[in-house]
Amino acid sequence: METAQLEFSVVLIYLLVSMIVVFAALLLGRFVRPKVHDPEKDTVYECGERPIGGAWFTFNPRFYLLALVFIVFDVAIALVFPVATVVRDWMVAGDGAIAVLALLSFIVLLVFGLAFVWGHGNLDWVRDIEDPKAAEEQS
Amino acid sequence: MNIFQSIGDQLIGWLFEVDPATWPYTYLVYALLIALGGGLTFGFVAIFAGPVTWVERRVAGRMMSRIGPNRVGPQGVLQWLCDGLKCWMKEDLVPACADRPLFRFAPYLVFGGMFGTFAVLPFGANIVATELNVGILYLLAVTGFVVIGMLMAGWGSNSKWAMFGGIRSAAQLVSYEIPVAFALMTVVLVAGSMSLQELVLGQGGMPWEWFVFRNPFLFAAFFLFFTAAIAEGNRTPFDLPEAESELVAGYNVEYSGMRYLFFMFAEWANLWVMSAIATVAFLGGWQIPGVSPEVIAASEGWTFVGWQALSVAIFVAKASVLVFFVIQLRWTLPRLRIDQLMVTCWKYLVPLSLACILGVLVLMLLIPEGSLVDMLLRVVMLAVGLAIAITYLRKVRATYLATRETYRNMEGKDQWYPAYRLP
Amino acid sequence: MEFRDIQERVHTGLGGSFEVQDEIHDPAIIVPKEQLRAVCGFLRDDESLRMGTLRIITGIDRPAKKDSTESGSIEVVYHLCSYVHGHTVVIKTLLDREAPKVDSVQDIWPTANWHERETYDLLGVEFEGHPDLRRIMLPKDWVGHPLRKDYEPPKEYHGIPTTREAVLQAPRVEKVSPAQHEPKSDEPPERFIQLNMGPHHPATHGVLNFLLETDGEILRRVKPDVGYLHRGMEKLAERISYPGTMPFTDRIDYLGAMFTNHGWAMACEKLFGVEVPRRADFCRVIASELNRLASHLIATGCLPMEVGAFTPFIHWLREREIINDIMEMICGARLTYNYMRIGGVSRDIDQATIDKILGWLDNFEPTIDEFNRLISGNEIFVKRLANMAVIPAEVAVGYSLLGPNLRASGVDWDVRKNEPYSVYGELEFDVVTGQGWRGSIGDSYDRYFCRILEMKESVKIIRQACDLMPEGPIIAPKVPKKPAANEVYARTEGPRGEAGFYVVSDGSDKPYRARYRMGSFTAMSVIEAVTPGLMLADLVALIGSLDTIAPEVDR
Repeated sequence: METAQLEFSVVLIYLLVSMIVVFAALLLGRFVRPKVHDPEKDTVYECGERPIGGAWFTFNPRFYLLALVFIVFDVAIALVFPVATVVRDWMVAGDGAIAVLALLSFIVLLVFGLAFVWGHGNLDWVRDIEDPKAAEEQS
Repeated sequence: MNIFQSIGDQLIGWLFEVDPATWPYTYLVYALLIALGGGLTFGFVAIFAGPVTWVERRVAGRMMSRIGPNRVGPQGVLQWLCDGLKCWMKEDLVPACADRPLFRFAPYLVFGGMFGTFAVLPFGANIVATELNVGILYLLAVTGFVVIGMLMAGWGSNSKWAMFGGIRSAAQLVSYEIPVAFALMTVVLVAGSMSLQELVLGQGGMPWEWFVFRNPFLFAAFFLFFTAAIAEGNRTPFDLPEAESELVAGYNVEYSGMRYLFFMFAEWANLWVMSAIATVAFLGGWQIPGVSPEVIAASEGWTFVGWQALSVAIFVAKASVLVFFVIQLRWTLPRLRIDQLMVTCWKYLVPLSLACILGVLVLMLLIPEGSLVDMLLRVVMLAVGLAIAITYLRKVRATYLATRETYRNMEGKDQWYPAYRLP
Repeated sequence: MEFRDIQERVHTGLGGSFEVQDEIHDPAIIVPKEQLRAVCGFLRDDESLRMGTLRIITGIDRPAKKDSTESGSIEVVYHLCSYVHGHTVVIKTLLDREAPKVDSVQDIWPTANWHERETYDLLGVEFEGHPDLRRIMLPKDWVGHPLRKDYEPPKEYHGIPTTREAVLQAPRVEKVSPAQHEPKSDEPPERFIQLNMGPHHPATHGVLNFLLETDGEILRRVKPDVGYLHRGMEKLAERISYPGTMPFTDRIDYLGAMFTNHGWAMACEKLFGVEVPRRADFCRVIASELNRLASHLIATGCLPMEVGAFTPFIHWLREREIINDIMEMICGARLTYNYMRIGGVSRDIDQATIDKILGWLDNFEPTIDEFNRLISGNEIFVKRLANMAVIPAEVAVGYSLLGPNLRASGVDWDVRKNEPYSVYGELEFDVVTGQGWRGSIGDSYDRYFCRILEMKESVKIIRQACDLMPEGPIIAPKVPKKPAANEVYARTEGPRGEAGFYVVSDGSDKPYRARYRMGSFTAMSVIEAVTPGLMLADLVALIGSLDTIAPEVDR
């Protein structure tokens, strides 16, 4: 087994340990917890009134936009990290400029993306608080 | 070599007197040891998360001119135990119309996401569960579990308030991962490795050897990282998902008993995790001032154990200072609204952290390590840091002196109401 | 302008003459219902009258007397006021008791919306032209109009018995099955989410419900749903004598109980024609201003708590504890004081208590500055409140906001200065109006900061009153049991605005009609007009900045 396998198996076992701990605590609690069934307790909480309509409503599109922007940035991060890791070694070896250029290209792309999204107004959570009409048109 | 591997080899050699390399059950022993390590880590998490609630409540009490819990146990130190036991014994309510698998699985994810980070945290000179060479990337990945867990909690509860909390929290956590990642990237650039142990080894024990004082961009990156990490941990001023006074506990609203406790547990332990990562990445980690890692590696027997214990103590002390600071922030600041939060992240933190990366790159290119300019920069940044710390302490002292006057005026007078000074 | 002049102006302006009822304390013009809208419009728009504020619309039920041929009538009374000129007038309309209908004046004064709903709810008067005439205090399916003199309460409501005997013999209510309560999830999703920010919510000040229609995070419509705390105070007053209603007035606004006490005492004193001794007036002022301090401490403490900062609230509660102790020394109670009596006060504030009050005030004033350093200047706090829910002066006057809410919008109206009562005329203090300290005039930060500055003014007033207090009796020597038939509208400036008490007496020892008009009622009604476009977090901050209290709204 190589080192990497051992390292990641540690991670796996840690995650399993956490799951087992949660499971064990809940299981042990099953013998200690009361279980008094009452139809009132099965209802959801809406501040004391009956809820109107279901809770599984449609999301506002701005969450989707936010998630898209996040995905783009996250993929960029995942690709940039390996490059960032070796920059120091390359600088020591004298090829620092190439490493910096590589990183710069990524970052410049990201900056352009951010600037575009920003200028387009997609990062504004709310168009204009004072103007409900504009907000209405947007949604 | 992995700590579990080394301990396991010694154990096998001692117990069974076989060569670990050829024994077929070596990995079983390793696995058991790792599970034991996991259990110990969980013990540490529990022992930290519990009393830190006590510390938080006492600190909050003192900040609010009141006492805080002081009944259960001497000075109230057992309060967390009683709260935990009480929560454990409460009925576990699942709403009838909730999505049962999602509802019940959400605490596992949230807790697992938090606990997985402990696998890479370097507690001491050799006390690290695994020195993953992609440590930082792994951290970012595993904290993503928390996002999914919160979304599952919000959606699965089938309650509108929970939905609001879940969506808000997902948007917040997801947005703030970007500044966290960029800020950590600056440190990765300077250290040349993603492994957290390497990050710590790249620093030294003395404050001017820490990454935070290396150059101005790293200094800024520390504050950016800390702010974004507080947002990742759902602490005020970013605690919108669980804004008690607005959303009535947000995505937690339908949870009760032990499941709820795991959410809270994960939040308290997250305090530690973000402080620990900040310590590791910027504040020198477990490095003992004046003692280099070679000395530690070369020592034998009880000296070795002593160095390990000291390094763990230093690490815990540094992280605890940051935890204390986060607690103080919580009880002072109001919370940001969701759009202000998003603006802070995307329009302030992200561009600033990108600028930090560029700055660090440029400085790395221009200033070779160990040169005079580098030393000068470190001294200057250290001076800046000390100046900020001293200004803060002087303001605290000034406020204390000003209110001491008020106390002195009240003392000795025939007062019919109690003075503000607490026991 | 005096009432005669107003009457003259109305006659010349509208070319007609109306009856007046001027033997009562606040003379009224009686207008036939067909001309009501014309008169109201004239009163609002005429330059010399400028009655821009409608204080209350209320109804008085006058059933036919047993041996009289006249049929019964319902009087609808409108109290109008002008902030520009400072005069007031009362308009009355007489309606047929069997089918009371009158035009709505909701488009002339927007505040009439809720007042007319309440008059419809409790008396059955129908207002034609009202956009949304439905019950406000009582549930939708309630039968009957309680303030009518011949009202019989129902025996039970949805299986809940209402009479004492029935309650004692009531069978156990069975549980409803979950199907009735579960949200239907097979309906097509609507565009807007309808959410109940309901009675059981930490951020609403009391038991109030808001029906929100939100679009994700932004509110499209907020309908306040009040009436959860309706206790029938006004009907109660009709069965309990004048002095006996005093403890009930505490419960109308429990945080400003001295002011409601004072208002009721003033109304009764005007009815009975009783003169209050000077020492009693000073005692009243001291107790009232201490109460104003206590109430503002809660108001300015709860707002940071709702915005997320808990520490300032607890600091303020620490100060409030001492006020509560002082109140206990003065009158024996910490929250609902029942301190004032008709003709004076119940217990004297002796010199020892005054020394304690002054000693505490010396320590309190620096803590206001400390509080401001802690939270009022905090960047996040300011960002949450500044420029949020700006209520311009016309909207504030039209919706009849009162107290710090009105003054923060820039309108300089304080009952203590403009219509001085008790000994406020002799005391020097400033009226705090909104300056747009961190944003624009009339935003939430202004309303919050007005209260902070008003606290400083209250400290000044208490100091002056403690200085100037003369010796003397603390209660009038003789208070008759039955007043003459009269109508009076007495007002005091409470922490939430003007506490108005409109009392109609018919010569017996119990009020014929008592109507309490509190500032939170209209503050709730303005929420509907101001909130579209706000976010959910802003709604919470808005409610906190308006400082509404549920029992005041519902009575």
